[in-house]
Amino acid sequence: MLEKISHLLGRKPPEHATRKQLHKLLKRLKHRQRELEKRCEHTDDAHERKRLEREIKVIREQRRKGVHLYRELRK
Amino acid sequence: MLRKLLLPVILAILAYGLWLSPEFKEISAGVAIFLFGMLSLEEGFKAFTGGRLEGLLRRTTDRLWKALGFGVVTTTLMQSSSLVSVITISFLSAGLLGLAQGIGIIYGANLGTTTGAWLIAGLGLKVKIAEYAMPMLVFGVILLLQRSKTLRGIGYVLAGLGFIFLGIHYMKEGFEAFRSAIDLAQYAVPGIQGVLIYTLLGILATVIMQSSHATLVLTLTALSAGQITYLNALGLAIGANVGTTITAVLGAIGANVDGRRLAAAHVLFNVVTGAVAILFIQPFMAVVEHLARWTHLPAGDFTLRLALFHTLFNLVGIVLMLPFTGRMVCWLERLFRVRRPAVVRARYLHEAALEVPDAALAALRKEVVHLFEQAFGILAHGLNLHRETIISDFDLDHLVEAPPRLGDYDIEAHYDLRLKQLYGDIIDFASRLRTTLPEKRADELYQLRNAARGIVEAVKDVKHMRGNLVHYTSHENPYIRAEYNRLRAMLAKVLRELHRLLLEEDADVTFLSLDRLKVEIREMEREQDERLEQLIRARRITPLMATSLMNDAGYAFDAAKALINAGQTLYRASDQAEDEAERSLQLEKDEIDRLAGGDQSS
Repeated sequence: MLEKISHLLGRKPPEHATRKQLHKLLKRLKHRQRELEKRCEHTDDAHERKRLEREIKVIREQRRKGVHLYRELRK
Repeated sequence: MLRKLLLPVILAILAYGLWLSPEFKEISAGVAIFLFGMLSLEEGFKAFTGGRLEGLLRRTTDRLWKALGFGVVTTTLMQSSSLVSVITISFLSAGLLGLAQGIGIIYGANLGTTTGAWLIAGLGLKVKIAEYAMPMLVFGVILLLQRSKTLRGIGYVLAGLGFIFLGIHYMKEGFEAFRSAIDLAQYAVPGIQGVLIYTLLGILATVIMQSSHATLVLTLTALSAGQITYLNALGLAIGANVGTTITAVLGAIGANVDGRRLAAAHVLFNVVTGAVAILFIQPFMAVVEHLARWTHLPAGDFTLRLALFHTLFNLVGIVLMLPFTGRMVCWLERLFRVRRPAVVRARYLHEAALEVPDAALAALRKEVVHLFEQAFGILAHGLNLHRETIISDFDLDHLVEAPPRLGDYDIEAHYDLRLKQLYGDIIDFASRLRTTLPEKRADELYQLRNAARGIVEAVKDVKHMRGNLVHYTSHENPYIRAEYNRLRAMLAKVLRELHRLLLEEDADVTFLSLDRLKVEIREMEREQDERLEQLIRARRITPLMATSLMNDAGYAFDAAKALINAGQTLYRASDQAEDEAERSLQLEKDEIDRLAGGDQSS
């Protein structure tokens, strides 16, 4: 009972909440990556293209990290 | 002087009373035990406020009616309007609640606290509650000695309830014994005069005991023992309602202007409600009698009628005041104005915020964002740019090429005026908070203090490079001019992104998008190194220019990194799970280096 109370009163969110949020965040990042890739395809400005490519690269790395963490949490 | 004299006078009167009458001794002991029980109960609930109550407060008070409901429910559960008002003031001081929502909670707490009279009149005086007090005290004290914070909290709650029950028992016994010795009812004052006199007595008793609950219990026990008349008891209940505002007034002493506004609203609401109750005492009594008959209350049970009256006039007060809440907020904002000092001081760090760890950390976070806001202007001007230029959507790479106009800007003087004291306030608050903060939250405090230090160091970095920046951005050599302008544009970009993240809450700039900025800066750092070597080899810039540029580039990149780190510490997603998810995807230093193409190991 005490465990239940401390869980109820505890600040740490349950693991499934973090996993759910992670899933949502990964979807959002994927969507953003697709959007940036489309914009990158249509831009002629070299400076803008470089900026977009950099952002895509960072998102890809964040997604890779996120997918790994998501799989760990699912285990 | 008066305050110094007041305590010895009260103690002397009490000592005389205790020596004179054993019944008075029993009643006073009952009040003392009851008050001690209230303190224990508050202490117990404070143990549970490490997140849950604060989280609930944040989520459920976005509308006035929700705030009102929150006030009713929490005060009913905790039986302490004082604790609810103190938490509300600390949250308001920390800027986590609006004044209108704070007022809503206070309205609700006033209604919630009336349930206490129902419990005492319905159970406390009818059942032999002292029998329940003893086991509660035994279990309570055992739990109090445990290490676990939760168990200790339960222990405080149990012991508190035990003492409250015991206090009520002693008061009841005292009044029973008093009845056989002296009949206080002979001092009853009839009519409106009696209501007024007893209202003043109720205010006085509540101010002295700082608990409307204690006054109400005394009133109810005296009423049930027939020591006071029903009409006079109504006066005492009204007085207790007005007198209870003293807790909020005392709580607001250490609070900021918002806390004082809320305390004033509390006083205003309770005084208006009390005045309405006195003015319309006869209609109120008639309605109470009607409701009592309708709900089949026993004919001679005046204690339950008093509880009904208490709830009714508070409810009428809410109905009367609720439509004017918006106007009250405007009026209070005009009455208590925020004074803008020449030297910028902390806005959110107040004694009241220190009471609750969550509120204190939230206040500190907001204050460090305030520090960033102040630093933003200094940094912008230090880079010879205007705030508006940085906030705008214009291309910064082109904007920095415009001739500089702020050559005489005294960054040191502005640092002294706008940052030094504010930073001092933050450090002072953080040090005091460290002593009361639970160990598991210490890291959060440490990060916030580091973020503040990072912001201040960024300003100092810009201060160091400013002399050369002013000199070389108007230099005839186009190469050195371009290099310094690149540094200006880079820092301006960082400021723009952080402004969008922390102050505008722009959806396009997120916690994770700052990683892109980190990669960009790392790339720029590497490119700048390569360019510098080429410029020296091709003799485009003098060796003196090169050493200046190397030093200043170091300052600029350090400032940019410190600011981004501060921004990532200060950013908070609306939801804790979302925040944790975002932080878990944040790229580490080696990942940033690898993406920027500067890591040889990968």
